[in-house]
Amino acid sequence: MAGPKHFGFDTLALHAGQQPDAATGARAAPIYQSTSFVFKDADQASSLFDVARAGHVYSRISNPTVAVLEERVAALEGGVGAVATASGMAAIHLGLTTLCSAGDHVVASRSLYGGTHNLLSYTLPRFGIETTFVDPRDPNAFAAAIRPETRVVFAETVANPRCEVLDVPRVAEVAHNANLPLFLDATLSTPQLQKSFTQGADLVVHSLTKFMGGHGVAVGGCLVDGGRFDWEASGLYPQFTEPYDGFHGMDFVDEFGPAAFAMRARKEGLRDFGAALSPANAFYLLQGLETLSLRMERHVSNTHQLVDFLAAHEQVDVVHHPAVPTHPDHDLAKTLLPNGTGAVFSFEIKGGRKAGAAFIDSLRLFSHLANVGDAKSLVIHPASTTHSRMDEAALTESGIAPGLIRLSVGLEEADDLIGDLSSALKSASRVTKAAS
Amino acid sequence: MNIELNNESIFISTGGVEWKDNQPSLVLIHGAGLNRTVWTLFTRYFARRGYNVLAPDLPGHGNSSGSALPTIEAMAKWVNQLLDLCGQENSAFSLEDMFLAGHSMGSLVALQTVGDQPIRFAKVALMGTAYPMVVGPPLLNAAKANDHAAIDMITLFGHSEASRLGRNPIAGISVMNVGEALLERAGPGVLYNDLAACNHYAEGEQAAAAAGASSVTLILGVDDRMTMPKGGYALASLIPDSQVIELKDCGHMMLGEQPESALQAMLTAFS
Repeated sequence: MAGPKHFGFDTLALHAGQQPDAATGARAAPIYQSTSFVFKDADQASSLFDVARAGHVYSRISNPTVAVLEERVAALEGGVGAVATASGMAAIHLGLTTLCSAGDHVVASRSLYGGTHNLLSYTLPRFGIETTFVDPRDPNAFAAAIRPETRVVFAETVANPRCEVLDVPRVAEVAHNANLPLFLDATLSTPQLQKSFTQGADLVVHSLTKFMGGHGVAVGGCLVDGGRFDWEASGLYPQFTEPYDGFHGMDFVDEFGPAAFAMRARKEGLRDFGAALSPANAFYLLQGLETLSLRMERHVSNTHQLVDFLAAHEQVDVVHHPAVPTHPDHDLAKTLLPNGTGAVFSFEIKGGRKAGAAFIDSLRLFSHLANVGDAKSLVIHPASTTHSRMDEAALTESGIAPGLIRLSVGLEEADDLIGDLSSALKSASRVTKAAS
Repeated sequence: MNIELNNESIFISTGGVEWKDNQPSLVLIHGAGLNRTVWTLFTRYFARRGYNVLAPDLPGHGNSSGSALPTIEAMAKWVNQLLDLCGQENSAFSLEDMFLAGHSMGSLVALQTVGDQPIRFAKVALMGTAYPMVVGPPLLNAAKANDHAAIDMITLFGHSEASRLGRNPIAGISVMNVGEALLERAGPGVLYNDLAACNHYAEGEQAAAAAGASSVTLILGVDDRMTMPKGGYALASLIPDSQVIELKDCGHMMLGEQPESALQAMLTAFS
């Protein structure tokens, strides 16, 4: 049948969620920098509060600029809806607290961003939500850790900093066999490199601060609902399937069907926790999303050249990136992320902590800071920064060696980046030789 | 709420509000392979504006048990049975001067329902409608094979180009992806059953003539490529004294694409 086709990824990255502004004809999504929106009349006002008509009330709950970003991310992921938040951590918190109450339990990969590890290890237990951490490379470990009170399986698609690639289809099967959703942090893979929902995930979160925004100018996050998990059939989630006293007795599954999770997250979590994204930051993040594919292709291309350089360098012990044939997830990555495993990876420098420090201090193009996914190349020493709150045992479990260096490869000329690395490795080499 | 009809459990949305005495009844019928959630904004609106709302999941759809009914006529007969039952079991649910709306397949069901018992219905809105409602062989065959291509065709042809790119009025929700997820939840064979029922429906002329006893409004999306406006006008010509409201910049899935325009059109139809 001849006719329309689904718009391609790059077209959605430029257009999804937005039409030229009806009032002004503006082509770019305008920044609706307004806390609140005037009701047309009393009938519309009450309808908006009753969720009986569509529209915006107050920018903590929704905002037209932020809504463009939300719909665009949902479209890129293939989800039914999305909720943007003030940061990636806010999105993870929103997702977990929409799913879990006091007394509930999370099964999570032990290879997580340090902030997520803090949330699960130290903060959520104060509110009665416990987590069991497991080896992300062992789907059976996820299954073994599930308890009757478990409400979600959580992991990163590609873990930071050692690039463990989650076997999403197998872990999804484990979760679904227990009537649980699989909730993934896809920040490092982005929908350009990996189709998480197609592979079995039910919920996806992004730190938009990273590759999705890409410019390093705005902090933001987004929680995406795949719309395929059957909350009713699971029987474990009364917050979706029974009347909610906090919102006019609303039964979210009865009312919103596939979008029940996204609606509950907005109507409860965003309303009550209040970690809303500002419209200005939504605008910045939209500018980045427009070029996501172009940037990711360059990020990946540059990364592969740097991985090859480092893997062959005598000052480097090991490179943790699936592009390296000896990486444990080399074959899995080819299957799940055929266009590349991303641009954040780590390597272990000979000479340990001192050599690592000398290396970082000698870099000129790479910026030493606590972020990834910028257009500019970044570097950090995880053991002393992002993962500093993890004790030695947790560090060892997560594979954070003293000499581990994490790189986030940017969009510069690859030859210039290799030159910078080469020079810094020479400096590190001098420290190593002096010590020996 | 659930109600038992013909030994099957039938799920009904009332818009989250219990029926009250001395209010008119409003019945909303969903389209092929879908369920009552397509009406959520509308059930919630009208339930808070003095209507006793009844938006059922047709048998074999959504949360209702049983098998999907094979013809539009059978669905219409079932709707009238359901209304009888609701009237019997709850005195607040009035069977007089009712309001009735249907979308897509639901519009044919509504047409036949009012054609069968025209004196029951004061006002009728047929939305995203056409008669005959021909379904092309590629779509029918894909649906018969439970091939996802059928869902893709409906998703793509059912939405205007603007909606396929997105500009959804409900913050953060992708109308097109929600529609796709809803269709994916239909049981095997349900979508084919419904599309075939639309395709084979041949009682429209008689039902349309009888429906003239009610006040009938057809609400048509200007960019509708599944039930094109000319098909809607053809049906309107068969219904005495009917009126047509066009929704600009709107495809077939008007309840999600242009809920505000659709609501205003319904308010006009029911005024």
